[in-house]
Amino acid sequence: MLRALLLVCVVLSLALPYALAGDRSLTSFAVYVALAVSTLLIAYTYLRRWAGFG
Amino acid sequence: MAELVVALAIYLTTVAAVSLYSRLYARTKDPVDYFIASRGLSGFTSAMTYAATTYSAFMMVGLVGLSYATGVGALAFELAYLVSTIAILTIFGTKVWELSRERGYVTPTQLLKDRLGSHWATAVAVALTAVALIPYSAVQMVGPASIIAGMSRGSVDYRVAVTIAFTVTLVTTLAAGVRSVAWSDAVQGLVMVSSATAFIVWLALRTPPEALSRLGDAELLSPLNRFWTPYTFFAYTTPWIFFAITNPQVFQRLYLPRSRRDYVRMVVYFSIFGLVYTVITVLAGLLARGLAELGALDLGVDLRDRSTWNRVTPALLRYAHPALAVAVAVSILAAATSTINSIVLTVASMVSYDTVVPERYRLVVGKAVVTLFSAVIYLFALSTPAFVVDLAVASSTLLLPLLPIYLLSVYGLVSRYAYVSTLAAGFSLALALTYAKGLYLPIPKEVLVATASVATYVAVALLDRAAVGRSSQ
Repeated sequence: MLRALLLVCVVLSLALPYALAGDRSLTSFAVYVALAVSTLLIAYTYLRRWAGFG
Repeated sequence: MAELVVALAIYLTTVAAVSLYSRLYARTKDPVDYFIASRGLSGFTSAMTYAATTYSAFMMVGLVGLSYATGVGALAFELAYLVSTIAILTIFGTKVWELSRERGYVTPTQLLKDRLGSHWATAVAVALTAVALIPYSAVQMVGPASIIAGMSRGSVDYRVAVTIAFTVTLVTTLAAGVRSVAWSDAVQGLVMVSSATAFIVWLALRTPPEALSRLGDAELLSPLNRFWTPYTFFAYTTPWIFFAITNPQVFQRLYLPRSRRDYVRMVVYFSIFGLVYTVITVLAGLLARGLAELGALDLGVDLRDRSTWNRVTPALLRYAHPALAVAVAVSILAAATSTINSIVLTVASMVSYDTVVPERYRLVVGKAVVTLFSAVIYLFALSTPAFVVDLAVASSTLLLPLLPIYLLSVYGLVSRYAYVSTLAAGFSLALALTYAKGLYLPIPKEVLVATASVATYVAVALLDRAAVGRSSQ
């Protein structure tokens, strides 16, 4: 499940430019940073289990 | 510029002192310790060497210029790299870390040798890696050395700056191998991120809010615009999203953490470093552009001429306090050398372990190769012949054929025929497309090379598997 979510994050990072095309505010900036933080949190959850301390 | 000379002296002394101190913890006669620190680095040191190896001088020079000229699409490109790298380190990297311990791997190509059972096949991968990464390393030295020579107004010659980068590379690699590289990378990584933070704070304090609306008017806040077409976005992004697999200097870093807990720390600290450093560099380019649009800065950058985009950071530094300018310039040099020393050491380890070198000579040959490659990089950086520049630009594409080979070997789809045909087809295609200038393809050449390599590997491996199954019936 978490691995699938990580792959979704990768696909999203490639697809977001289409969704955010034409943006004239800092929305794109904020969305990309939020995506990177979300990816890190999902990865951390997965890695904690893998390492045996989650 | 006396401040620059003093800063360079402090930088050299600190890196040399840290490298020599790390020798106290090294088993200096053991090649496994020399090349992968006996798989015993802490999470923090592993993270810092991963970050300093991945993030080169491109960030503070190339990415700032790219953001300045093309807008927030540069963030989309660079964060696509970070997101995919986090996913790779989490899903694929954990498996590689486990395999490296179970099977005792020291080099990335050793994994291939183990899976394929062929010494000669992996020696080809070693040669390919050297062809792609040695010119890339040489070009890495050119940018920072030019910035330092320009800033010093004659007191530090270009050749002196290249010599400093060469000296740092030699000292950090020869002192204690990856232990001194990693420890000095940790110091250099801290220099990179702290000076970048000071730089962005200085720039943000100068930027009025109306600069942002100017960026919106110039289509610089949209990730797709006149520059960032889908074609350009995928051409830039494709080699980078697979960088953690195709580039052996970062692949080998997966072997370094001493425990699972340290591996987790490596991924988390690296990700935080990457996110902060990426946001800072893109923001620096955007704020500089906003200020230039308002007429508050004259950076002398011609937006129609891409060769001038790399001038943004050096031109900005002219407006900064000398102490800040010097710190940023040294951090750019640190970013370059921390990438080069890792490349040199990784390629040397691959030559020692995955060619015809007898076991007892691995350490001495490794050190000889480190010295030889560093000298070649130094000479290339001094003269920068055209073929070196071409190969450096093409390096990320040239390494793409290694993607299916590493990825699918780890997950059990192994075939010598698939390996040889993928290397032959993928590398020839990448090389041909590099030199076929003026040829327009409907899809970016990077995507074409990646797709052709994956298709070749999977098709030949499945055919091979079917043939073996039929002959065994």
